[in-house]
Amino acid sequence: MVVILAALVLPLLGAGLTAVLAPRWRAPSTLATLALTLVAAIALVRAVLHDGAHQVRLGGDELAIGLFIADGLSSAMVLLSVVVTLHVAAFAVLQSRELPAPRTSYWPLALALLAGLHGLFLAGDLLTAYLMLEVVAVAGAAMVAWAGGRRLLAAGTRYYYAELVASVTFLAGAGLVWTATGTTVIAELPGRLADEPTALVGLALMTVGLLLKVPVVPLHFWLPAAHALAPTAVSPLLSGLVVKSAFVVLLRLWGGATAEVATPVLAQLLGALGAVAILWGGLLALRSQRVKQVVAYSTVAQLGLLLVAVPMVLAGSADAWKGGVFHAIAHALPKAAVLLAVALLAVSLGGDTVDRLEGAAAHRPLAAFAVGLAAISLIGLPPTGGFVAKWYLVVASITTGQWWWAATIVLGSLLTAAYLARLLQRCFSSAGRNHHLDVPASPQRHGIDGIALTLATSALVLGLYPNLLLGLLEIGAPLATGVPLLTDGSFGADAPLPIGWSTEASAHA
Amino acid sequence: MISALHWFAFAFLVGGGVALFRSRRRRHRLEGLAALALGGALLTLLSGPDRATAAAVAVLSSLTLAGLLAVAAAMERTARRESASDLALDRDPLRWS
Repeated sequence: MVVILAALVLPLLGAGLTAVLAPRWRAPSTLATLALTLVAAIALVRAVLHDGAHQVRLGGDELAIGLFIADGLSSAMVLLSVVVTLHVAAFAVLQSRELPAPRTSYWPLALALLAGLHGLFLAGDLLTAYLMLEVVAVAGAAMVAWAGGRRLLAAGTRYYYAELVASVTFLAGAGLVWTATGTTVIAELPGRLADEPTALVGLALMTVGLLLKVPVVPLHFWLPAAHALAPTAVSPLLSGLVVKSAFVVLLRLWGGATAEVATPVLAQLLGALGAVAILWGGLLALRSQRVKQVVAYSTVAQLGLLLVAVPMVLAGSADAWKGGVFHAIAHALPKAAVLLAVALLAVSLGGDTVDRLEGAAAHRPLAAFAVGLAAISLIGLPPTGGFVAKWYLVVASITTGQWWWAATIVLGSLLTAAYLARLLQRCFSSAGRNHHLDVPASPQRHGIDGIALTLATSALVLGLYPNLLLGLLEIGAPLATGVPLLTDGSFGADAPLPIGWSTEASAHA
Repeated sequence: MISALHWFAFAFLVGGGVALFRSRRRRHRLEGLAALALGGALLTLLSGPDRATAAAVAVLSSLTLAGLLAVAAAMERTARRESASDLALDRDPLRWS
């Protein structure tokens, strides 16, 4: 299928081309590549919507590597990654008026990162997933480490080493699964794992590797520094997209292929790790004084929410599947918006601490509004994408009888509201307005602020019109058939939609 | 079946991984990385339904790992060049004074 290859090859070719171009042509070349890749991603989504899931195997059936699958999950993630990267790249072009311009190596690395993400989202076998995890690790860490300064270098190197350990652990696990089952294709694993101790050890290793990559508390030690210290045009890519890549592989493994070997205790353990991340990340975000640190710990917490979906997915809940993936998408947009907007506010107000945000709305109303709008989605308030995701997860927890996850989600939302309220209260307070910093608004400033606002508005649009995405996520999903995976759980009843919303997406299944 | 060679490779993996985050010296970290890569490559070589496929994938993985090691070495070298000392990766850079 041409569109799968286009989504993979375009950013890769663009990265190669951009790397050899003269520095002044790198940004235009990156934007042109991203525009073309966006067209390919939209075509991919259209193809999946019209023709269902597709797959492409490079090199024929004999190879254990090179299988790519376009289904609802992968096509949605591919589109999301291009949209976010395009916004961030446009921001990076404009930022030189106020912030230090990105290094020339930023442009090819951003495209290489996108190519790796696309490969990972589309990967249908374990070895392809491993290779793409490495591409993402190298590109992501290099963007942090080589942005300048010893602190950044340390943060990037720690991040890189964590990714390396995770990748090699994943590779070791994949090797054992291959030994035991004779296949590396994820979709061929069901039915081959149950009686194979070697495969189970391999599965455990792959899971640990992916949990370190996501990362989940207590394996999150590398994330706050890498995300908080990363340059402005890098943080949104890391927090919005890169952390989701390992989750997608985890979901493919645990949501389908390996469900037969998951015990209820194991499933609950994965969920419990997510719950700890929600609470721990939330509390640390509440205590942090630097804005980007608040956002970095917020990422740790929001990633926990993804993991909380796993035990409900394993109980056979299609709503948990949709809620988890919807959250992965709905989180990326406002998170990228917040990171871009707070960088603009920090440069305008002369500091990046929470207290420095005092009166920010008066200085940069568009950026402050973007933070506010994104916060509503991150908290999970209606009518945003964050709300839809949490709604589905809460309904899944009730229909599967695992009510404690609903309580965790609500508690996590309250914590999110608490730490984001600190930012919003400062932003929209007029008491401490820094009059000496007043700078007349200019069209250029509105342009760059508008990028953050567009991303935040996308999260709102996702909440207002969720059915297209919900319908897309059902295509090729292991749970679309409604077969319970783990126990004779209560899957079957479609989740009630919020009042006033149509049920077209549910009927699509 | 998990053989003694598998366990040997695991030991390299774990030892290498621990060295990466416990050591304050660049040389020890690179040795840890090498051990980690060796463990991963050995495990891949022991995998696969037939020897030819496993060997092909092992070669591919080893090349990938060699590339990754080169990137790590470049990062460490850059740090050394910037301030004539190794990075203290056992401490969170956010807490650096």
